Amino acid sequence: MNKQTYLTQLKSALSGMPEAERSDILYDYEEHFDAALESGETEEAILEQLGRPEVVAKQFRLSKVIQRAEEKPSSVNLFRAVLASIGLGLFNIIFILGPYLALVGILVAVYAVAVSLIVAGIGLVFGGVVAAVTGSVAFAPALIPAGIVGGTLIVAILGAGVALAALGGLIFLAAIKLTQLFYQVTLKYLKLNVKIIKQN
Amino acid sequence: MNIQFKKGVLELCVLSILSHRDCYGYELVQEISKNITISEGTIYPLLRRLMDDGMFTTYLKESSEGPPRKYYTLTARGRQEQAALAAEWRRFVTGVNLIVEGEHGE
Repeated sequence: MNKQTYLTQLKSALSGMPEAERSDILYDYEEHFDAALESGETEEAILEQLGRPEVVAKQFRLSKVIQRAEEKPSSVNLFRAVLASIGLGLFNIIFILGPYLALVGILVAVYAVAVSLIVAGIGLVFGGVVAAVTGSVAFAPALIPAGIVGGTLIVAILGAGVALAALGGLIFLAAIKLTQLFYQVTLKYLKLNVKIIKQN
Repeated sequence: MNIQFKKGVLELCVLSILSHRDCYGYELVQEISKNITISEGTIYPLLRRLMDDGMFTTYLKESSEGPPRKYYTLTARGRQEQAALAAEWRRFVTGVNLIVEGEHGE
């Protein structure tokens, strides 16, 4: 980034403001750049000191809406001011928290599905073994379709049990991978937040 | 130092510097940076807010090189505000010092 791109980005970040005010603000930043360059500062140093254009624009907006809320007290204006202040630091937490919790819920659900599949599979295998030993399928008489008798049924039950348990295991492994990814993304996101807040 | 606290104090700093002499934006930033670490970008939103509150007005003055610079000059209201904030600040610092030094009347 250099002076020109900074000013261009600031200009677009300030869009929606009255034009006179916007050009006034841009004038201030351009003047700051020129004066700082003149006094021997490097462009990089100036850029770093100024902070990112979006953050700067947010601060202008914030004082604007707070002012409006002070001048014309109304729930709408107050709400706008609160939103804008949240926008400077906590916006992300509030608006991300909902979807974030939803994602946590989905992950928990995936684990639950995996565990129940494994349990169901083990149950079927156990049932199949019992059936093989006792020679009856008393635990699920409904599973006896016409024509399938004895050994065939038991093999089918055992096979289904193993398959279910294996599927559950695979989903469980996938859920662990997802959890790791989720964890990393969360960390990255938190760091990003810290960066944004620090620049204030 | 606590960010919110610093922001409040920054207002007093700006008004105090301007109570001594008129400055342009970068000059103000330099004056403050000499003593306090600030994110320079935050000065301009503050200047705009204080101006909207009627604390100072601006005028353009030619500079030796480059375009004219925008100087900030305190209004009567700005001077009053500076005096009030400075008094409040001194009371606050005195109080904190007494506590820190452990002389709060035990």
